[in-house]
Parts: sequence; structure tokens; C-alpha cells
Amino acid sequence: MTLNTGSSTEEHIRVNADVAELERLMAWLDEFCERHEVPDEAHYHLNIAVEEIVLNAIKHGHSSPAEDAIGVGLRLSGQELNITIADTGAPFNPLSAPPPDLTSNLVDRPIGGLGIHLVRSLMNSVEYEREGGENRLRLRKDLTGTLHAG
Amino acid sequence: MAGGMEIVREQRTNEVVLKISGRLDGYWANHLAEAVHDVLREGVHDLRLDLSQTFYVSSGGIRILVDAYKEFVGVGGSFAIVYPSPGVKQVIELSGLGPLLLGGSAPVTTARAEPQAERIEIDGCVFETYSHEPSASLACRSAGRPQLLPQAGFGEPECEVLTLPKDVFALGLGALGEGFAACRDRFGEFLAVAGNAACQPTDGTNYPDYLMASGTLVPKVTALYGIACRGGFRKLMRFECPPEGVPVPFSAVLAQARRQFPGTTVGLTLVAESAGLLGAALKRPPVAAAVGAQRVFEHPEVRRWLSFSPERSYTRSVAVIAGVVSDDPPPQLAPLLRPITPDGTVKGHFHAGAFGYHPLQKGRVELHATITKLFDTGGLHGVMHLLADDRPSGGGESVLLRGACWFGPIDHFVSQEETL
Repeated sequence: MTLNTGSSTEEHIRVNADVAELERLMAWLDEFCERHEVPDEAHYHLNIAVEEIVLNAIKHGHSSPAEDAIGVGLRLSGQELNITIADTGAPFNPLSAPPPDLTSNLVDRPIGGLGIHLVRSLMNSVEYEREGGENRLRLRKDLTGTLHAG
Repeated sequence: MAGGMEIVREQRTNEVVLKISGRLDGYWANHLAEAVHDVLREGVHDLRLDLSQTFYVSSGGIRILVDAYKEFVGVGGSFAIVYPSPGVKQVIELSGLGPLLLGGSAPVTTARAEPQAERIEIDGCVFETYSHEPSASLACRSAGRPQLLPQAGFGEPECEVLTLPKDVFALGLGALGEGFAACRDRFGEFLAVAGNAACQPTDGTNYPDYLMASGTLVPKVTALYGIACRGGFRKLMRFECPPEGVPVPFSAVLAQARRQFPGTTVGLTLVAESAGLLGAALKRPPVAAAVGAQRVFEHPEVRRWLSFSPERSYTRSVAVIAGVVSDDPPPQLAPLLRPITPDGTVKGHFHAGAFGYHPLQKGRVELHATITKLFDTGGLHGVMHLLADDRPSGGGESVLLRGACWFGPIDHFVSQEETL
């Protein structure tokens, strides 16, 4: 679905809470970025952020592949891309997880928490709220900016 | 950016390179994990991943890369990413894993053999023998009366409880537990190495029991008969056959061990990746029954007594083997040693425990740590008496792909009235 609201463009997709849906979701994301000439680096960062959050939602929020349980929205306004990812799974705020300890012994370091760390690092802002029975993550990516230090 | 993953393998002299094209995301990461495990299962210890054509990596992909690093370094090998694409490099560095994954681990060397290793190649398989504990000695004794096995005539008087600390290896027929009454329905093949004891029960469960030394706990086996040896091993032999080559027969490993100590009785323990084990195990406890003497090894009764396949089993597993081999068995062990070569000149007795596949570390590995790690995994599938079936239609003998064998001469033979 595409909405043109003046100077901004907004598109949405809903997918099942199923890992097999990732390919369809990422193809949709790629098509959006290519059509709107989103810079390659931002496109790459967007891919990582969306995959990390959607996989997290599938793994932690749903015990079975629920139909249309995850919605992703993209809104492009000038040089700013806003991404909303909503899922109907159990309440879960991934931002509440402690950041990974990047200073501990590399070999013994647990990998958990790395995904959300990458999202925070690659996006300019990340916010969570529980609204209307859904977990909602709002991400903002400045298309002119450089990599956020996280 | 959508698409899958392509993996191209390149074999180099001392390492394997996997060139990964496409996405290394949560979905495709498992394909890479399988490819990495395949390389490890072939016995390759040095892996490089060329990620120059990998345009995407997520935390799921990073997880696989870290696991691969741990697995290869854990077996004494090396793992590194070469030529990462800018996007991959950025994510790895953001993850704080650059020094681990991009810096390169231990460099691949052209010569693995240590200076003191004696190296010999037979039919494509390389044997390297190291001095292990030069002043170590082994003392052995037998237990029980193996002559009672053909008629399944064991009773309480023949039983002996063997204590099996870390410096003892033992094999025979027995069960975990103390006393004939507690074990009479479960007596089967047992094996003990480095403080770990395993028994194949004959109570119909077919699931091996095992016990590991821990703190003050030392495993004990009630044995109907057996061989127990205490002490250390003077030599360590590593052997390896090429991935596409012919595996080495167990008798060839024994021949190399005997060659180091000619004219002596040699005790050995071995951990090896198996290409197939040939052996047998009791189906029923060979204890004296009210119905009178049995004929365990005679047809057709043998089918009720023994589980034996004419074909090798445990073709992709890791075997722990222990036993004794001799050209001229001393009287204390003679009743327990049986011909293991077609001409009958070499005699021995070996039991094996078969575990799920686990790659073996390269180089000079430590006996206790290596074997305890296997028991720790809980992947013991069976215990058997190893056979050599050299009949024209027979299954031959056990064959091995690579392994480590600790061995040494048995210097002292102790009577059954004495303790080790």
C-alpha cells in the first residue's frame, strides 16, 4: 500500500510471524529503497535494522506463525526515513535489554543483545511503545548523515 | 539486495577457503553453518571465509561466524575472515568482534609435525609418534575367569568390584554398581578410560550406562572378568588419512604401536573418528541359570546371546578404544587375549565406546581432557567388543579416519590376588 502525503511517501506491508516471510519482506524493502533512490549505505543499514527487529519479534513474541502479525511501515520525508515495526506478540521491549559488553573476553562473550545493539548503532533514533495491543518500534534514519555512533 | 547465498569451496595446500556470495542473514546463516561443519567433519583444521562478495551480514550471521571461530580454534586449528566487503567489515567492527574475526587467528604453518615427532606414511595415512611420558610405566592384572563365558556360567564368586580412577584403563564384562545381586541383570561389555566408565547393559534397554569421576566419586564396575591397567603412557601417536582416501584399519594402528615397543605387551587407549566399527555385544547377562549350562558361541544359540552385524556400524562417530595387544601374552593375561590377525600370531582384547561425531583437536592432545569432553557431551551410543572377521564373507575389521593413541609397554603383571 502506498500513500502520497504531499512531500512524503508512505508504504506498509504485513507479514506472517514466520521466518520464511523474511525474503518477501526484504524484497519489498529493497524495491522501496531502489525506487526512491535511498543511498546504498542507508539501504544496507535499513535492511539490517528491519531484519533484526522482525526476527526478534518472531522468535520472542510468537509461539506459532501467526498470520499478518507483523506490520512494517516506511515513510520517506525529504532526507529522513521513518520506519515503524509493529507486532501483535507478547509485550516485549527489546530496548530494555542490557547492551552487550563489548569489552569482555571476545571468545567467551555471549552473542545475545547484539542485534538490538546493531539497530541502535545504525539508526539515528529508536523508540519503543506498547500501543493498541502491539509492540511498536519507531526508527529514524537520516539519509544525509553519517553512521550514528550508537 | 534480496537473494540467497552461494558457497564456493576452494581447497588449498594447508587450508580450505569458502567463498560466500550473497546474504549472510538469519535465514541463510544456517546454510553456512552446515558448510562449516562439513569442512570440520572432513578433518580440516584451518578455514578461511572469503566474504568479498557477501554484501550483507546480520547478528544471526555474526553468531555463525563466532561459533565457527570457536569450533576451529577449539580443535587447535584456525579461522579467519579474509577480504570482507565494506558492509560486512562495518557490522563486524560495530559488533566489537573485529579483533577476533578480522585479525586472523593462528597463522597456518606449512609443517605441523613437531621436531620430536617420528613421521611415517602408510597407504596415504600419516602417523606421527611423539614422546609422551618417557618414564611412565603400566602395571596390569586380570580379573575373574573368562573361561566361564562360553557356557554363561558366571556367579557371585567370580565377581570383583574394580575401582577405576583416572590413571586406570580397563575393559571386560561388568556393570556399573557394586555387587553381583545389584548387577546380575545388566552385565555386559564395559570400558573405562581416564576416570570415565561405560557399560553396555543386557537388561533390554540397549542404552549404555556411564559414570564419570567427579570430586571424591570414583567409578566402580562389578566385573565378571576383565583387564585393568594402571599407570601412564610413554608415547602418543596421531594418525590421519586424507579426506577422500582409504581409512586405516585398526590393526595397522596396533602395528605402529607394537613397532615402537617390539617384543612387549602394549597397553593403549585411543580416540578416533570412525569410518566403521566391527564388533559384538552380549544381548543377555552371562550369569549361571537354573536351566543348566548354555552354549553362548554355538549355532543357533549364539543369535540369542550376541548382537553382531557382519557390516561395520557407527560409520560417522568418534570411538574411544582401550585394550592390550601382544605377540607373546604373559600367563596372567593369556586367557583374555584372543587372536586378532589372520595368522593368529598377534593377540589382543579391545573394547570400544561409540560417541556422536565430535572433531578431534590437532597435535599433542591431553588424554583425560579429550575423553572426558566426549563423555561430557552425553553422546555415548554403545559399547562393544571389537572383532576382526577375516572370513571370506566377513566384515573385516574396524576402520578409522584419524585419531590419537596413547600407548606404552606393560612393565608389570600383577596376580589376581594383588591390587594395582
